[in-house]
This record gives sequence, structure tokens and C-alpha cells, in this order.
Amino acid sequence: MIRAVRVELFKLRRRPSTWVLGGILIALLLLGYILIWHFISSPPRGARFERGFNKALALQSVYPGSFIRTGFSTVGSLGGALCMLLGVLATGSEYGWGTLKTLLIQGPGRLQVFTGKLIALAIVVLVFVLLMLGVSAGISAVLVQADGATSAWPDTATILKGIGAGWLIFGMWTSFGVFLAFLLRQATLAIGIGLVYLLIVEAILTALLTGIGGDVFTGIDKLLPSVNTTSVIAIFGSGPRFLGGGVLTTVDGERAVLTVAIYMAIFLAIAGTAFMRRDINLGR
Amino acid sequence: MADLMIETRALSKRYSSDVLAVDQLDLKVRTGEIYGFLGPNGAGKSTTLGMLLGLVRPTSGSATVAGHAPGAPAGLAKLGALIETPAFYPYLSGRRNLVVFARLGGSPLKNVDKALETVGLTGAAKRRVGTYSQGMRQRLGVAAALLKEPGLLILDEPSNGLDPQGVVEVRDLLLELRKEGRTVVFSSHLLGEVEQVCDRVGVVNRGRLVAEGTLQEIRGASGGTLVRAEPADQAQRLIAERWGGEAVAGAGPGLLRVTAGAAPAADINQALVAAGVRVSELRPIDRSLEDVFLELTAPSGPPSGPPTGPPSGPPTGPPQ
Repeated sequence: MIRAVRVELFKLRRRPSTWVLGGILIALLLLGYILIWHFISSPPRGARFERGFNKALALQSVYPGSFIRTGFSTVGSLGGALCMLLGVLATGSEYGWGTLKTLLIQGPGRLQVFTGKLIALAIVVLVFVLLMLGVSAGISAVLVQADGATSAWPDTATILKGIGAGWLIFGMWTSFGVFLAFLLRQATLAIGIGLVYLLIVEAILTALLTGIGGDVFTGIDKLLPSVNTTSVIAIFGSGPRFLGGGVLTTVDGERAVLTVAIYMAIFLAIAGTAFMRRDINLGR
Repeated sequence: MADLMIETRALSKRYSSDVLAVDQLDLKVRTGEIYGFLGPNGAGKSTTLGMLLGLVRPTSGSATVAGHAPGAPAGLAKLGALIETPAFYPYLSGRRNLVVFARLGGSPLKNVDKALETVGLTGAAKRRVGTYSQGMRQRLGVAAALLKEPGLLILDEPSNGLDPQGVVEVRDLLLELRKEGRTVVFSSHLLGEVEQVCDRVGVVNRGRLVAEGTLQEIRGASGGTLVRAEPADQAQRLIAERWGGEAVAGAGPGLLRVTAGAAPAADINQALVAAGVRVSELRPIDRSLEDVFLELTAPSGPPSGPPTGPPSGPPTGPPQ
């Protein structure tokens, strides 16, 4: 098992796409922070703020006290998409290159290869989360210094909860990518379907379901992955409305955590079953 | 019978209701031999090899590979394989690819350099595989199969894409492996190579084993006698009068083909010379493996015939 994990980590570390995805995540975060800070500090002419807008209070969202919440909001669903891509590329590419057969011929069982991939991905996702929160904390510290303002850092327990929440959310989207890749036995279609679902279908579904209203449709809406991931983020406070991150918490935090965990378990169970039972392509 | 390294019993694979890739295959590979696994494209060779490696699940039947069920880690630990196109991580160098597979298979890292040297890739070891030619990938595939220094090698078209020098090197490697006591199963369309290295061959067609045996058994008896004589029509008449009209046939300008077993070459020569016919050539017609292969795998060939044993019957190919 340890061999399989080491090999997978070696491959992920050497693969340019891992670094590109991590780089995009950080770039998104930095861009988001700078835009928000600039927007609040120097509002464009004609900008419409909510009634009772308080600049000093609004700036608190880019200071250390809010670095967990703002970090997640800034990255948003694109962070989930990047993790989905990570999951697809780490597994689906093996089908495209035909390397699964070469891996399995070396002797490890399918379970070992599958588990090795999952553990390695979990480690990379944790690094992504730590990187994201670390950069979020860093830039918030720079901004609060630059503005000569003060802001209290979240306590250790909250930071640890933030790391856990990030790991869960990013892990779930990575599992979604793994699920699509093993099910479709390729990367290209998995990426297409994953991106369309994550960035378009969920938004349309939510708009439809909440638009129609009623207990049944609202209940279905509360089962959607994105609704639950945003509800997990909302545990760390609701962002100011002008951020576009005024998350409408539709699900209780604990229930959201459980729902996201169940999604992850289902994705991995289906992916694992597909990988264990189906034939491996012999060609490319 | 010597120990069997691979044995399949009624092994079958059905992909769908109308695609039966492998049909009741009974294959026997003896320890220490080079076994040529032949068949036209789509005959079921790769599917069979995939089943032996545990990559493809059989629909029915069973197999034992190196004393274990196909795909069992204990069995895989004793074998190395190259199936279909060699597959590697394009963003890693050739050496790093082998390091990945060596680590996963628990092979010592010193085997990586040794394998690279064996296939002549030491100079390109640090280049990304994405920049390799097809021949280099093929060599790397063979190197990957050698990493575990296995007792059994399963090589699917190891010479595919190689230049003539590479083909010779692979042939020498196979012979070297046999000298070391290893068992090699390999498929190839280069029948000349197969004739040069294989101890035994199995021929599959449309999923069924249509022949299995030593090369001599597979090629069968001589295909008759080729006679070049002048005048040819007189020679044909003389042979027909003495041994029967069905024993002789024209085989080209000035050439006659006398059916195998119909008449000894010496008797033909004596009869023709005595009648004043000039005989300029008289030689047995040896069927090549290619002749037999084409015969066995012809669209109207004998897949429904006996599943094992050397083929029989007169040759249908042109005389050589």
C-alpha cells in the first residue's frame, strides 16, 4: 500500500498539470482579494452598495479575521472545478495513456492501486487547502498592514475547522472527478461533463428549483452538492453582500457536512466498484 | 510432459452477444520454452494475453499462470509483460517511468539501469517519453517487462515498430532469455522471427486455437516435389502415366509440382532422364510457417476443426 501511495505521489508531483491547477487556485485567490480590496477601497463611480454600507466594516472581509471565509468565497466553485480536474487527470489520464495495464502488471492488486491513488489525491488536496488558506492568511495580513487597520485572527480551533472543511469540500469535488473518470474510462469526456455539471447544470437546477419553490423542490435543492458546500463554508460566517458571497445558507452546517461526506463516499464507492470489476483497456 | 508455466482450460471471453473474442481456448506453455502465439489481427491474441495477466476477466474457463490464478499478485511477481502498445507517462523520462514501475513492483532500482542498458536506451534514459519514437517506446516496453527479472515474459508484438537492427536485438534477447531458463510467450506477425526463435507455436483464429505444436509439427510433412524439366509437357505426361494424373500439376513455366508422397524424387529423376527429358531442378517443397499460417487463418480456414494438434492436409500455397 505504501509503495502505491509513494508512486502516485511521485507521479502527481512530477506532473505539470498538478502545479498548473495549484497555480490557478492561488492566482484566483490573489486576484479575488485584490479586486475586492480595490473595489471597497476605491469604489468605481456609480457603484451601487447596499443601504448602510460601511467601508471600514466591509474591509474587514479582506483582513485576517475573515481569511477562511473569504478564501473559500474568492475561490468559489472554480476551486471545486480545479479539484474535479485534479481527480479526473490523476485517474482518467491513465486510461488515455494506457498506463493502468502497465501499473497492474507490476503486481499490486487493483484495490492497492485504487487506494493508493485516493490517499495520494487526499494528500495533494490537503496541500491545496493549506496553500489556499496560507495564501489567504498571508494576503489578508498584508492588506491589514497596508491599511493600518486591526483585525483579530481566528482561534486555532476555527482554523483547524477551516482546514477540515476545505479538505472535505475539495475532497468531494476531487472524488467527483475520480468517479467520472473511472466510470467513463477516459479523461476528456469526464472533464467536459464535470465542468458542465459543476459550472452550469447546478446553477440552472438551483435557479429552477428555488424559482418553483414548494417543499419538494426546495428539499431537492437542499440535496445538491454545491448548496451543501456553500453551506459548509457559511459555517465560517456569511460574507458581505457586495462580495457576491452573501451565501444564502439553505442547509444547516452539520447536515451540510454530512451530505458532502455522503456524496464523497458514494462517488468513491461507485468509482471503486467500476475499477475493480471492469476490464482494463489493452490498447490506448 | 515438462512443467507447465501457463495452462488454460476452456478459456473464453465474450464481449457482447455477437463478439466472442476467445472461444474455449486450451493453451499449454512449458517452462523454459519460447512459445509463439500467432494469429491474424482480431484473432483474440491480446484478449487471451490480457486474461492471463488478470486485466481482462474471462467469461468462462480457467487458467494458471506461473502456478497462480491470473492477476494474482504472487503470480504477477514472477512475470513481466508488454501488452499491445507500450504505455508510459509522457511527462516523465524513460528512466523515471521505469522507476515508477520498479517501485510499484518492488524491484530493486538497480534493475532499472540494467533494463535500460539491455534494450539500448541508456543514452535516452533522461529524455521525456513524450519525445520518444515508436521504436524507442517499444524498447522501453521491453525494458519494463524485464524489471522484475521474471521467470516468465509475455510479450505482445515486441518487435512492433522496431527497425531491422531492433528486430534482430529483440530476437537475440529472446534467445538469451531462453538460455537463462526463462519462459517467453510472444506474439508476432513477423513469422520469420517466430521460425528463428520459437520452440513451439500456437495459432489462433477467430478466438479458437487451430494448431499447437513444434514448428516441425506445425509445418507438417513436405509439400511434395518441385520439378523443373524440359520439355515440361512431356515430363508431366510421363509422371502422370507412371504415378497417376492427380499426382502432378503445373506450377509455372517449365515447372511441375508432384504431390507429396506420390513419388520419391530419385524415382522421378530416373524416370524422366531415362525418357530423355532434361531435369534442371528437383527439390522438395518445404512449407513455410507463413504458408501454414495463411492456410490455418484463411477466412474459410479450419477454425471449426480440431482445436489442438498440428494441422494436416496438402499445402495450398505456391511452391518455393
